[in-house]
Amino acid sequence: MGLKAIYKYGSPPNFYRFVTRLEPWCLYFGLLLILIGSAGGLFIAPEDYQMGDAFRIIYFHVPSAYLSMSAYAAMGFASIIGIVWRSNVAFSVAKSIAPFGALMTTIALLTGMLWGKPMWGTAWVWDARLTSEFILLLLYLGYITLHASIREQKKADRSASLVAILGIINLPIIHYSVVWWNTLHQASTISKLDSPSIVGEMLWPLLVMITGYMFFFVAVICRASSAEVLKREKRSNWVKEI
Amino acid sequence: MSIFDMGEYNFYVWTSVFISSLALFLAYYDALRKHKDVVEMIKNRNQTE
Repeated sequence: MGLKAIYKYGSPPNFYRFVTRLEPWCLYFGLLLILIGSAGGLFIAPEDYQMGDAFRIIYFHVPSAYLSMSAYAAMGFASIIGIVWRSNVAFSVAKSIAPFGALMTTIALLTGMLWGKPMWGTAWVWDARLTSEFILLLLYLGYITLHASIREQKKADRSASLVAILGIINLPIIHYSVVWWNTLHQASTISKLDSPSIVGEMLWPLLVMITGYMFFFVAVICRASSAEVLKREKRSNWVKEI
Repeated sequence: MSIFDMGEYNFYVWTSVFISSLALFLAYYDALRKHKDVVEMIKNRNQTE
């Protein structure tokens, strides 16, 4: 099934038709969830007993941080498929993910700084979680810069993919950084759904926001990768019929 | 306490809301623009051929 899907959607026309049909559903559903989650987090969730209303930044910080890592994992996976199967579609997907992932990592860092300033008294410390997330941003920027600096498409795809694949090692480091080292950053809030360290009234908007961000991410990647596929296939006959 | 009057936290919370929303908007707008540009380019090329 997995391999069949790779072969089916590895064909640019099939992929293009699939993502253009999938995109609006993901976009509207994602936006709806983000609206519900934002309302729940900002207006319905109770105030935290220690952090007061400042804890509401969690509803924007955690989804962007989750997405920064999930997007990198998806980019690494697409790069592996691209290299193993020499799939132009997979390379297009990986290339489309990079700017969005870099943006989400920047937002995760900025919202973290905005949360850290009133809570820790400082916006930035070089602790393991913040530093490894910052390295993630550098990996995204490295991928984008390397891809842009090589003129030949295939060479650019392969070289940038190597950066994406090597960078995957940073993902468990980010996730476990709060366990392996003493960090100012708090431990995971919802790493285990059966025993989250957050009450239900505060948890549901967070889960809704994370899901909303994920759907929104799929919508953006559908749109951006369809553009990239069209650009690469501009001389093909199927593109002329669009 | 009103969510619009969180005292010293007003700036931090609402700035987070603003930059996150702006990032989502820019991400989708950029993808939309890229797609539109490519489709325009292909249409122009089809017309000239």
